[in-house]
Amino acid sequence: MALILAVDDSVTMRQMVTFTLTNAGHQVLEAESGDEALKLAKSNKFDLVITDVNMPGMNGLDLVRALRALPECKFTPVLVLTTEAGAEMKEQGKAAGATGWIVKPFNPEVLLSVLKKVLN
Amino acid sequence: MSTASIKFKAHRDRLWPLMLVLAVPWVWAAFLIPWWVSLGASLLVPLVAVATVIYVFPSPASPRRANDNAALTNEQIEKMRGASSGLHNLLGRWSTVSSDARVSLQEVQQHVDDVAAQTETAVVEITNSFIGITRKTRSQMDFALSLLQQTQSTDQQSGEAKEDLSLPQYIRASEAMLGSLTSHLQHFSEASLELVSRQERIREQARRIDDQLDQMASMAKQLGVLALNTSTVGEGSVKRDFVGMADKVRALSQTANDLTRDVRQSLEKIKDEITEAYAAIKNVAQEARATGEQVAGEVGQLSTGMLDKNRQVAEILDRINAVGLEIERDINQVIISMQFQDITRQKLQRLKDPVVKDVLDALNSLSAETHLAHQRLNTRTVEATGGTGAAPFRVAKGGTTTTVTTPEDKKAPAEHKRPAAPDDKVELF
Repeated sequence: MALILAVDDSVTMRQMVTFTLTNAGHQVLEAESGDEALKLAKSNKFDLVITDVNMPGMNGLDLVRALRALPECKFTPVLVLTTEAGAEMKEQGKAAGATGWIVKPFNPEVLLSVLKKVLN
Repeated sequence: MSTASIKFKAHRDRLWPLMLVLAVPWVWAAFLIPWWVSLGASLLVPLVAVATVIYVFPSPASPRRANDNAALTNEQIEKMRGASSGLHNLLGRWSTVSSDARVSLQEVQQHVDDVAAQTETAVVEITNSFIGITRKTRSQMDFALSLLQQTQSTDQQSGEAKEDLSLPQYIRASEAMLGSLTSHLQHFSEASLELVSRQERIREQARRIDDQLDQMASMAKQLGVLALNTSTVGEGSVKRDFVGMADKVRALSQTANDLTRDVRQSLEKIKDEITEAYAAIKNVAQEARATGEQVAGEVGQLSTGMLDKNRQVAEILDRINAVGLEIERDINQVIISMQFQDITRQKLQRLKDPVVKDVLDALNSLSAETHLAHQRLNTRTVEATGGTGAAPFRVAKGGTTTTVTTPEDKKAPAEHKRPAAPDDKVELF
């Protein structure tokens, strides 16, 4: 069982991610913005972070950069879950330090499969 | 110069034909009416003609006005006035339409926000319900499984057919069957002990017969001695001795008879014991065989029933698992479908923010510019600039000048790219 942080400004998406992960036996904390996610990341030791890109305020890529700047999250896997599918955005995510890129809508089986790979 | 004088000058060459036409009815009627009426009517004809020219005839097209640009030729001014014919009304309509469109766009923006909010609320509620339903379904499956296990461990009503028994009942029946078998084996053991006892009694009878046979051998020996003594008896005491021997022989004979009777009785008893022992052995053997057959038959039935029951349980578990997998697939599909709300919301947001905002700004500028042009046209302060190049609208806002561009002038936002192919959906760096 892993402790996972789900970051998305959409309540629906957070619910879907949380539902999928909790059913698989993981523990999930939710954040609706990058700032809230950073606060949670400082006070918890997460095994994985899943974040959206397009969010009001701090966007997902900025959040990845901010997480990488934190010593406790320097090596924490970060998956980007977004509607963005362009190669340029993916390159930006990779450069920011993201571990993987998943395009919405996600298939729960695929998400869990990627999760397994990343956590292992 | 007044409009009346301009019109008069422009149409004065048409004044005489007009007066002639107007005078024709009076000339024709001069023979029927008094002379002073004809005179008055003839005097009014020029006045009517002048009034017609001033108030009915259109204003002449003037090639040049006082505020016209001196650098332009009359032909250019004529062309520009022709091109701007109706521009006054067009700008007025344009101003009205752009204002209406701006209001409509603001309404659209508000509606988009409302739709996004309502959709999100609805989907959140649906999601909550869906999660609740899923949990309840899972609970139902757990209940079904536990019920199945409970059914397997709950006693059913007595009197039911064996094939309807539960697994624990099968186990208990097997235990009962084994108990019965043990009881029969115990009974068989007791019967065996009884057989041993009977054999002991037979052995005792045989020893007694042996003793009796010894006594009979002793009697035979005594009879032989007696016969020897008889052969050696003298004449004088013959009679007395013979009587004595006869008594002894009689006594021995009596004893032999008794022994014979005893031996016969012992043999009868042995025969009875053997018969009873045989009967007991036969009964025990029959009981054991019947018990064995019964136990074997019932155990066979129980085993068959247990196998059927296990097969039924396995089938039910398979069905439950299959239903569980189908539910899981449905749940995954619902999860995928639910995410389209977020995607739609984001697309609406992207549409609303850059595109609608740009259109709204453009309409605002257009409206202001049109309004300004309208005002200028109304006051006839528009200066003809000449040339054909279309400059962008420039509108003064609070002392600053803003260049307005259309949405098409901007780059297409990155969000409008084509959807990702399935293979591109996941990428690990």
